[in-house]
Amino acid sequence: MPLFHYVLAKNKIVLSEEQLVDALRNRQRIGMEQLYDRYSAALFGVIIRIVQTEEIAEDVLQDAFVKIWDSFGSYDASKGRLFTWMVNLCRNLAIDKVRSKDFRNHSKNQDIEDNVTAIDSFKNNTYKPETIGMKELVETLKPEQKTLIDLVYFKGYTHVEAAEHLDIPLGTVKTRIRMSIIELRKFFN
Amino acid sequence: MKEFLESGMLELYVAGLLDANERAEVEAMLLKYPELRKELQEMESSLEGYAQANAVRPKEDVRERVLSKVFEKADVPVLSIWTNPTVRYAIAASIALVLVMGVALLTVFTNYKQQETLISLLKDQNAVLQHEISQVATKVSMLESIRKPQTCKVLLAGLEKYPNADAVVYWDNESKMVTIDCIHLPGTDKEHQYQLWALVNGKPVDAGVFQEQDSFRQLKKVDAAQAFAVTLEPMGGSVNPTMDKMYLYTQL
Repeated sequence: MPLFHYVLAKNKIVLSEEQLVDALRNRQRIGMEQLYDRYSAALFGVIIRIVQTEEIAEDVLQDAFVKIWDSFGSYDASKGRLFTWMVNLCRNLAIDKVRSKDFRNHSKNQDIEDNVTAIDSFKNNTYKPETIGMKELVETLKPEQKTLIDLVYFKGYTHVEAAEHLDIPLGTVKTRIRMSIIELRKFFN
Repeated sequence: MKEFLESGMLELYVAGLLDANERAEVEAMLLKYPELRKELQEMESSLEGYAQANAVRPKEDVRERVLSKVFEKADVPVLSIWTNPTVRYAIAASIALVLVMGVALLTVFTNYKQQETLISLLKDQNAVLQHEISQVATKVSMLESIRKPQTCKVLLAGLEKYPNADAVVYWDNESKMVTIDCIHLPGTDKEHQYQLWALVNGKPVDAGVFQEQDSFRQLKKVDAAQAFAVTLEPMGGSVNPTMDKMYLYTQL
């Protein structure tokens, strides 16, 4: 039925979040294909910010999608949106990669700003004016807050590890994170 | 609830920065205060929005690589059954069982067929034996009749023409049955037979037909007789004896 295919292609069927979740639960290929097409870039962005090398990021992205497909049974829709689950999954895989064997030797303790400049060069050429650039976002934070966020979010340090690394008390770590969130909240609102 | 929001725990939950216990706490709060869900969803949307804004498109070839890897296993769902050792053993055991039962059934069936043949054979043999037994029984009864003191042994004498002819008639005076034992009589063709006659008041009475080789053949009843004679008659016997074909005669 060529007409049917033509119509389908033209309309570019877009599944709603619910339909997407259902498709993935039922292990329907279209679910995974749509997932990749809609979210791979966003997820890749997060991954690459953590691992910093495009090649490694590609491997992590592949591992991530395989994991999303294989362990979809463990996604609980009552606990949050699909995207949140996927982002966290990707972030954890990327951090594991960063913490693995030789990786530590090659990576330097890059400041979050260095991260940003390096990665901005990977970005797509189309630049939307309303885009919330990481740079702008990061500039709302104080330096010590930036460092902490980098350690905790992009490098996967626990509060305890971060406290040790920065040689500050654990309590300070917790307070600083809290303040960062409040600042970020202002930014988003 | 206000405290909870100010603690920033919800943001950390969305960012995946909480440990298992802390996550459980948040989930409990979400159940307790459904209005928190709205906050949660807003944060999640921000997260997605931020991530999309900082999206980096992977190279074109990555898509195919990723999807083929994802569907690698999905293509052959049956494979999972075979890689499960327990299932494999169960299936192998079932097949083995079926085979064993098949062989057993075949053996039983073959045996059954053999038994059937054997039974049929035995039945035939049995029939033959029964027949023989009945024949023997007849002979035995005949002999018993002959042995009886009441039985009269009549030696039939050959006539001039047939001096070698010899036969014996056993006449049971109790049952009146006559048995003939041919010792020597010339052979006959297919159209002729020997016939025994009992002479009763001067008249010949048919006592039965027989062949020259008959030994202890039971013939008819004879109530009274003054003499016995044997003639050669056409097959099946005659009403009256053919006098010129008389072989044996004895007067009692």
